[in-house]
Amino acid sequence: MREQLVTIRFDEIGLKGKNRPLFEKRLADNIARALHIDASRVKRERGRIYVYPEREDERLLRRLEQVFGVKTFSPGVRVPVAVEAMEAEAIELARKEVDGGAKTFKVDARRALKSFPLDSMDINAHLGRRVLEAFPELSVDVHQPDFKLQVEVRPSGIFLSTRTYQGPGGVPVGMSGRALLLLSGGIDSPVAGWMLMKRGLAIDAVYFHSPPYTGERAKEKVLELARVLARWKGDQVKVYVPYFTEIQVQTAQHVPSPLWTIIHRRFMHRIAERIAEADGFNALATGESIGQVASQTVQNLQCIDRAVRILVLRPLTGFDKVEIVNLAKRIGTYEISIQPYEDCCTLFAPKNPKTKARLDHVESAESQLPADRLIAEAFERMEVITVNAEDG
Amino acid sequence: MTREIYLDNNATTPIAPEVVEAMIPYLREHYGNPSSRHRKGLEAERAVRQSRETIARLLGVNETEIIFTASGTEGDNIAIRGIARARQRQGRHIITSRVEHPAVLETCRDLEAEGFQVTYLPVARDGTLSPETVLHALTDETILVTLMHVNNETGAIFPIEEIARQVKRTNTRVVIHSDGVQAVGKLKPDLTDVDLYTVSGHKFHAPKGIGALVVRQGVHLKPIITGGGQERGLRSGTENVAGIVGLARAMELAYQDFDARRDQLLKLKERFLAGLEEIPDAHVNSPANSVPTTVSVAFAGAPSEVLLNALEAEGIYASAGSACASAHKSHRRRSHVLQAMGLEPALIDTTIRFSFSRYTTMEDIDATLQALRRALPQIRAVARGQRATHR
Repeated sequence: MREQLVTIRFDEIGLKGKNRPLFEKRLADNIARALHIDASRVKRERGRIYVYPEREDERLLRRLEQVFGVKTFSPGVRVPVAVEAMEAEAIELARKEVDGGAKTFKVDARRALKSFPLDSMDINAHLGRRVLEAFPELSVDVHQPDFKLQVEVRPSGIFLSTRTYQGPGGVPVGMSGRALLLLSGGIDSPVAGWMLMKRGLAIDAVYFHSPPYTGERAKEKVLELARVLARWKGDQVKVYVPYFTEIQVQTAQHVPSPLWTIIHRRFMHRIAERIAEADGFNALATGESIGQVASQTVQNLQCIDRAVRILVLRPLTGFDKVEIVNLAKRIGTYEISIQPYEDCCTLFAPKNPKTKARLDHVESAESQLPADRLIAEAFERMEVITVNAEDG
Repeated sequence: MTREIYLDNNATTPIAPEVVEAMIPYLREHYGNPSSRHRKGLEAERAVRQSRETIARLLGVNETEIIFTASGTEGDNIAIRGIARARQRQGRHIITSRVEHPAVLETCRDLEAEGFQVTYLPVARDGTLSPETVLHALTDETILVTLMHVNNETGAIFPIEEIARQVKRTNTRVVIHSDGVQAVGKLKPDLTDVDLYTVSGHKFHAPKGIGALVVRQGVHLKPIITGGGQERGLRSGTENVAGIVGLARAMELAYQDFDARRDQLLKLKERFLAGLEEIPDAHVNSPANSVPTTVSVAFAGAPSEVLLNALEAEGIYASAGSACASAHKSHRRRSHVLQAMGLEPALIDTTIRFSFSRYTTMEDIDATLQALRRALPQIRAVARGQRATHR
């Protein structure tokens, strides 16, 4: 009996005690969801996860590249524990590589089943010989082979593969709790969300909409970014869209312009905190960095932080713009982010924002605004949109 | 939001139900290739021939002078590049204007890179162009004058018939091309002295993806699309039969009751202009000599993007006279048309283009004016507040 499968490896470092089965279970569940296959096709076994797909499908591999917790994976074959079956399959796999133009190879065997008659070295030598007999044009190169025939002998079968791909690593999404991401249309915030998902947080998003000062296209762009994040999450992403216009209009009327941005952001954090409390998020997340724009200073971040009690995660604080841009390109959000629809109307962006705001000044300026009424209105007119990875 | 008031007909128009009806048989049963020898091919060929005759009759030209294309842009390219290539030994000078559609401007720029000289004529402050301006630019080297008939942003009409007559009187060898994309259905073009004329279907209730180029007898073009030799070898590729049928039907509708419809559209425009006069600081950019279906207007102090969003929230669709209304200018360019007219940036950035069609009603006009009156005060207050705090 011969079965197609994908072997998935994950990082065990740092996994201790009860965490390890939790990690494995979560990862297996996430893989099943991301690949749209039944959980029974994802098997856990001693530090490995095996996926038995219904049929060979290149798209499956592309999706695995986006499942956090996956370190590497190899599509391959499982055969019964028998030397002949192993040989036959090794030759079969080598044939595909030779057809694809491979000239050199090596065998990399591991024996986890000690009762198997050949040990790792024996298997390397034996299969190497057999493959060379079958394909005299091939030669062995132990340093830089065109393909590496990986063989693992386990109680449940012998696993063979010639290809290994990199996963994104990290921790399975959902292991570490939930965070609500303040998502704008810019480059930074989706990257911040991605980094936290990589550490196992399940992300949903909040986008502050200010019609007519921000248009439908700007909102559409945010939803498109959420769709990319949903692919990495392996699940749908909820986007909360509170009504922000009145807060901006009132701020513009009653507050000196250098403080606008800080006050807007304090309101955004307050509204996000309320959503978090109502819907069970453990933290907020933002794409703020330090020193990137005039208003992102430690003094200003502190003023913003003081508006809420909830933990605010800012994973980009140590990053340069170039690093963020490179990550955004890798994640797949960059091209969307640079589309020229303003995420927040520039009418409300002061030309000379305060760089080192003092909390007492901010608080006294803010006291001019009917905060409770404004926040209540933001919720009254809030829209909640669910974005699926596969839409669009 | 149930209401829909579509005032962006210069961008594209809804397909007329009559046009859809006419096309359906050619999407369903008459799917043949006009080049095929069998009966299916014959049906299709007949439809194409009849459509060609209809269009030729309505434009007052011979049916052998109609070339079907896929778009206005394609028609402009076939015409301009075709003349440039065919006549480069005679001369390498082309005359156009600064307010042309990108299909013409970018094609001319591309030809400049190939060594042609291009004169980009300025326009008057109201966006109009006089025949004298064109005559002054003529040189012995001039091979082509390409000027739009109606401007897409302002609706301004160029006196293309008069320009063609005078240029021909000066030098019969100069070819006259006109982009008539915004004129068909709104004017009755007289192509007596015009050599090449571009038509696009979706601007007058035919579908997207179909257009025509009028190529007058004796005008030799070098083809830029080569292949099976369809459309007199000027536009190879299997004919878009259903689209061609739709184009002909749409043009028939456009010139049926033309005068009565024109009067009706003029009344709409007058009503709209009268309403705009009541709105403080509304500056109409469209000249008196413009088509009745286009009104370009600047609402000083209200960034056009914001006002458009506010109108859209009420189900009203229009477009910015300029793509740029944001404080960050890096991404966008201001309208080259309004710049050429000498409009100051503050007005360009607050310009909105309303473009009507036969389906626009008095109620639509009134509702739009009402929406403008409602939205403008707050937007202006916010924008003014921002400017004030920066002073």
